[in-house]
Amino acid sequence: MSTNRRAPGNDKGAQDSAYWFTRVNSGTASEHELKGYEKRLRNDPEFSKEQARMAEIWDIALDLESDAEVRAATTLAAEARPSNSQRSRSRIVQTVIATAATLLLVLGTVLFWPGSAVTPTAHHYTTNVGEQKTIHLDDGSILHLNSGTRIQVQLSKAYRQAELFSGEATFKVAADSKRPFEVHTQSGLTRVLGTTFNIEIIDQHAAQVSVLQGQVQVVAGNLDTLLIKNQSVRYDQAGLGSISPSSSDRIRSWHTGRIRFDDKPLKDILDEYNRYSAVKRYVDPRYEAIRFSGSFTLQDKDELIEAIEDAFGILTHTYAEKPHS
Amino acid sequence: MSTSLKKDQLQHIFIKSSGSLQSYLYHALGSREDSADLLHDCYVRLAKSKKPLASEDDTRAYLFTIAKNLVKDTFRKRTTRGYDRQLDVETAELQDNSPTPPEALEYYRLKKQVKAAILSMPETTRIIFGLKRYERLGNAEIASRLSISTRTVERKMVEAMALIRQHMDGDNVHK
Repeated sequence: MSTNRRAPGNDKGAQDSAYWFTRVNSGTASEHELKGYEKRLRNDPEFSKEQARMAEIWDIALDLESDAEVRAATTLAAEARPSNSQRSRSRIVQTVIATAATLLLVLGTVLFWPGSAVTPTAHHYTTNVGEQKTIHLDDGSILHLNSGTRIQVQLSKAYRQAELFSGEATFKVAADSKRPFEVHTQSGLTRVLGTTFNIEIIDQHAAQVSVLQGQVQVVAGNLDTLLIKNQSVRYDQAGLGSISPSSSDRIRSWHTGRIRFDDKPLKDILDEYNRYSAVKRYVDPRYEAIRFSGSFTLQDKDELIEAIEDAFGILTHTYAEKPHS
Repeated sequence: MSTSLKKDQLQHIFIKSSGSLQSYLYHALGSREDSADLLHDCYVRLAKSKKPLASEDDTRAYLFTIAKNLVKDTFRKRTTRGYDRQLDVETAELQDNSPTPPEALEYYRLKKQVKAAILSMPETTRIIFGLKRYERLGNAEIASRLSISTRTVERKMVEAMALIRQHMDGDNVHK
């Protein structure tokens, strides 16, 4: 296979470069190999330039997917498509096909539909009110489940999919360009391109997606949008709300198990407390605007209530005592 | 089409390209975290850009130019002050020397070279390359489909990529 049209040193460089690129992209490289690879990339600018070049080639090759000549040449004769020679096909059709093909790569080859014939085992995870859990999935992704959450996860060779039924979860999705990670809720879906994001079920019909790192695509109704780091959007069956800054601090803080408030109105603080407590509390509406700073953990959350009551000389009530509604 | 693309069209192209871009950034930087961050920066810069982009190819070329500049910038920072992975987007902005026309040309040139290289591959190599890249099969699946060993598939893939790479050396004016 070696050619002699170039200096052997050059061939060797290309071999080495191609070896590492295909190795890492095969998905079978060990963690140890990857570490070594990454270290070399960081320390050897020539190598990293070459690897970037390889990635560029790999991308351009994909762009050639819509090229009839290339497709004909790379397809097994028995499987050759009859449409190769249809040069008269309108440009629009070609563009649509090219677009669809590229889209397919990003979205992965198979999108999962509930009830589809080959469905891998679904794993269910739940947390009680006041409980949090961290789940490590087989693909390397990590899920943080907040209080009162119910979620189902399915991983297959072609896709990764989760359905969030209630509560709130943060998804730290391991990058895998071949298998998108999709999170469905009652009213829409969030599609991930390797990133960290949070979804909170607001009620039966609405959810809030916040991106902590990278970006995601959110689809609801017949609308879709791209959401990037520190952005958040609320959606329901009718579609998407407008994009707002995400409350990344709040999300990061629940990951640590300690919920912090920095100069927040009592109303917000109690909403947050109620998320973690089976017994829901409220204060007289006149006091809702009083601001307070502090923190609580899931274990000592009632100390927060005591602190608030002491600090302001007011009482909180539980819902059973609430005079109206 | 001579009018420039709208914001949502650009966004769509970005979503489509982000897998490739992130892969590019990962292989250039050797860090998954850095590549996710820089991917985000690419998006921000595309969104902020006032560059009129007329086609999908132009946009992809532009995105890759942004990515390259960001990589360059990251390397410069790594060498000057060790591991500082926070990239200063403002500085990167200044380096952004209105890329599209020459970059797009470069992109088309590369595309032609890659195409020529694929067409010049030995048949088995070509087929394996196609199964991998266009049918998205894994090495093991390709091996069983063609009744060869996984090891051979791996070797042929290395050969294919090396061949394309060699095709890109030198010839600047061809075609």
